[in-house]
Amino acid sequence: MVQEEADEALIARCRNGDGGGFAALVGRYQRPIFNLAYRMLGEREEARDVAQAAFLKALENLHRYDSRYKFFSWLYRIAMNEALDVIGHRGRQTELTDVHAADDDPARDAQTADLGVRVRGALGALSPDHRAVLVLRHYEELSYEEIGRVLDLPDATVKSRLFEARERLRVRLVDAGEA
Amino acid sequence: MDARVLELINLELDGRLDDAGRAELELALKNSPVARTRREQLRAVARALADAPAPAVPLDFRDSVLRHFPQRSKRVPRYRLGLALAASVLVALGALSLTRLELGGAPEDVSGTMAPAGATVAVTRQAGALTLEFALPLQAAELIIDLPGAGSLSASVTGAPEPAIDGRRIVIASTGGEVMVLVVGNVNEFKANLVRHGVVTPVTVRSP
Repeated sequence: MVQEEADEALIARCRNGDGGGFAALVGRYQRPIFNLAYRMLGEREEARDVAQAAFLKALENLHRYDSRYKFFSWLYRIAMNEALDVIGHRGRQTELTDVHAADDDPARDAQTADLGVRVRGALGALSPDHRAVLVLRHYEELSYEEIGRVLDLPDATVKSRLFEARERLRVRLVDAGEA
Repeated sequence: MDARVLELINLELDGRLDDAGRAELELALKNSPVARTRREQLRAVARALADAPAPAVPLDFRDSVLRHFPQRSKRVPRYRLGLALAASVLVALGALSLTRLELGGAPEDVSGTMAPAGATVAVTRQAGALTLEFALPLQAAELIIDLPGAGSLSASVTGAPEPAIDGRRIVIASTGGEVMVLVVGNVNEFKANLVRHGVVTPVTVRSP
């Protein structure tokens, strides 16, 4: 059985300028980071730019990473901040209706793709703060504590914000006949 | 809707409900059709989020990120000093060939010419040892080093996994960046190629 190299070892390699270490970290986290960016932004090209910027910013600031905390929490935090910056620059809430994304896999069930579009639309209608906790909890499957580290919030705030976000999403999806 | 019941429903969704909370929720659900409806709706919300299709990561995403990996600074890294020291020790001990090596003819004439350049190597020659410092594009590829001549070789690598050595050929599975190879044995010249998806990129020699 092949044992994956631990994040800490890969980070040490990066710090020594080893491109292989960085390549391994990108390979390991590209999916969740791209997913996070896409769920927040709803648009593939923006998500790609944000995910890329997150990895490069992480690399630039690796000397600031505190190894007492999990690397992915730190990386998620960078990616989330990048995504929130993009949303901030948009200057408005954006309906996440990138219907092209549903066409990536031609064999994908049309009903599932349609649900994806509607959920994305409902998510996009929420505030970025509410969207962030839902994305981290439901798509990245982080615990309250991990969400708190990513968003720099106390656990109690994470809980209350998550419950409120769910409630708002419920209202939107009930109105749309999804819940 | 009672705020406490709503909290219990949410905690249940997050797998955070303890036994006491579960009993409290079950009692509330038994007595409140509104609570039951709300619980079903919130479960449906969670299902809708879970069922929404995940986006596919662009196929070239990793490579596009790695293209931005900065070149290593000019500072001499510690491992390089270590390798240089190791090579010097070998020379000082006279453990290997006492024959003066022919150092001419830097091996720019490498096999394979169809791929664009981009991979370079700096060569440091010493009696019985050859240090090759590769600067490779940041992508997965096989680095193949052929060393004409006779006799057995040993090699150590920094910046890439341990090499496979087949006679006078060294094969390294590289992900790019800087790779240093110290070859010990009867070495005088070499040919180096980077092979990716069947495309051969010759490694050109640069000044150390």
